[in-house]
Amino acid sequence: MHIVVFGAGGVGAYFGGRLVQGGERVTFIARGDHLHAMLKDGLKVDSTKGNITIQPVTATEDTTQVEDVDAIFCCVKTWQIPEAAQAILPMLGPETFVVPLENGVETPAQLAETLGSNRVLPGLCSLFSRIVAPGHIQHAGAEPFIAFGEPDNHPSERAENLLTILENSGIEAEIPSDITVALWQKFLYTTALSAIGSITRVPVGNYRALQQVRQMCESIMQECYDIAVAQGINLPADSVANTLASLDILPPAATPSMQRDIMHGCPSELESQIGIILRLGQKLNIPTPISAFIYYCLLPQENLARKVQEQAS
Amino acid sequence: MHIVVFGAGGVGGYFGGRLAQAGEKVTFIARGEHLQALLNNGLKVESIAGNFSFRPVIATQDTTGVKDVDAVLVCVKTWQVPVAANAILHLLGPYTIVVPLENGVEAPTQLSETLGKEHVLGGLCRINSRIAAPGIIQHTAMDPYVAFGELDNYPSARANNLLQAFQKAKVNAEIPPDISVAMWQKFLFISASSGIGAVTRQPFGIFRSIPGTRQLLLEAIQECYAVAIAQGIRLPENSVADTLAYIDSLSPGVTASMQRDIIECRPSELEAQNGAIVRMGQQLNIPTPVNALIYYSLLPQENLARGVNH
Repeated sequence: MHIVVFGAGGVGAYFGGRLVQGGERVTFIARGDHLHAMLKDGLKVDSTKGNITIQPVTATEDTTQVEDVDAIFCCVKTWQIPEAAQAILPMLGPETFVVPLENGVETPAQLAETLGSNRVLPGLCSLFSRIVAPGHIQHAGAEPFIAFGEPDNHPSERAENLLTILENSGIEAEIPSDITVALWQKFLYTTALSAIGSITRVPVGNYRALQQVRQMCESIMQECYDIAVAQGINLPADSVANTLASLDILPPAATPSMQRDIMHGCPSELESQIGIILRLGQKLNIPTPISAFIYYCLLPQENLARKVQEQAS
Repeated sequence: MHIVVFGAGGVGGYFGGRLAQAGEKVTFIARGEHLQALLNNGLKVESIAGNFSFRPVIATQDTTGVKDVDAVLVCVKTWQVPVAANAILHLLGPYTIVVPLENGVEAPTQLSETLGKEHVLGGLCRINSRIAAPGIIQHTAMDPYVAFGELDNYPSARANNLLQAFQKAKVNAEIPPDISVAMWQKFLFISASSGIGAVTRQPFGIFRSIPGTRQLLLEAIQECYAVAIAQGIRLPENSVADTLAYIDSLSPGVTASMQRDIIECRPSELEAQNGAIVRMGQQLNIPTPVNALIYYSLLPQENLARGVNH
């Protein structure tokens, strides 16, 4: 199978690296220093699950030259999706399909607009990792995990094939019974963790024992839950309680990527992780006061980070 | 007049400096490197209202040897007030007055508990200043202003004497008709702008101009207003609008001291500002959701700055 990993950051490089280790043909789409480092010195992943070193790496910035692609993992930041969709178009053969692993719940629909809905299998991943230097990724915690499936959840051969390949590469993977439910369950978790982490600016171990901060965290999850249920997504009734309990098994130093981006003054996924709750809440007439507070407190920093990046480029 | 300035930071250093420059006897209570610098090199104030410096400076860490004190200006951070109160006890003669210039509204009560309320006035100040280096105070923004008065607003000779000392020193000072109202008016401003400033980490010009963020600022002021009214403070009805207009009038680059402390990972006045509104709201059964969100969002950083583990 020829798999393209679009975006070779913490997520793409980790899973792509494992697939190469498992003997799959993988092409990484990357750019800048990171691309040059991978081409020159290979890809290095430090991981609690065993380090990965790959040399040579197949990597390029130009998607028009990439052919015979079976599957594409989309591993960019949420705000890069529209641009990524355009770059993915030339790689599509008759049977090529795309699995987005982004945070949030909007990416499958955004990709489907450009690529066609039959091309997109919604997906998610769980992983704490990041680029520490060009060509060098660090996997810091959480059992790396991928879930994906057909949007209507029908059992398909292409999904089964991809599952087999992931499993053969030692990646824990699953086709859940309802991929939309799985996406929203992850959304509850990531959004609450990102929101509280970004506003408090401390690792999870520094706030999860403070009762009122925990309460804020629970409220964010509840707002997400209410929005999901109002759209007819069958989230189990104990989703909020279970998600909240999962905070306690995280390593105390854990921080989600959105929090790190905000703390470093970088553009973040504020819009797709928290802004979306406000947008959907308004549409569905569901109050989302806690999400709104955090969104509007973080928005000035987000605006600044994007202005600084714009001026730098 | 013998005036003791307890705490020679941005506030105490500036106002004490002006009073000393105008010929009042001023004793600064300070400590550490700053005290050493004051004793060795004198006090230097770099101010947008005009630089000045003088030496020698009367300064000490030990309040037990300071005698014949007419007035004590309390210029420490809010969380230092209980400790300061014990040190101020030694300074009290029968007619000594104690004027807290802290942010927040709780310092008079805290001081009264230790010193007896007959010694304590209400007070507040407005200035943007800080210790730039030991012995050096920098005043960077705002026309420095002091207001104080008897807690029952009685027009006393002792308050008037202090007012004259400030006026002689050309400090914009007044005894307002109701000191509690004046303190709460300042509190509306400082608690909301410090809180929103600290969670957004941006200067006033940014957070006041993004509609959703401005709305939070407005709600934080409204909650503080409701808490004041519920305990019988006679804030005028237009106080909320006036506070917002005042925030709009400040230069866009302004930041609040609590905001700077939090951004720079130092202990802050969170507890005396947004924390106090939440506590009073609970006691008075007034909902304060925005202040609670501000308070609990900032509490983990505050705990970290103070070395409190959870």
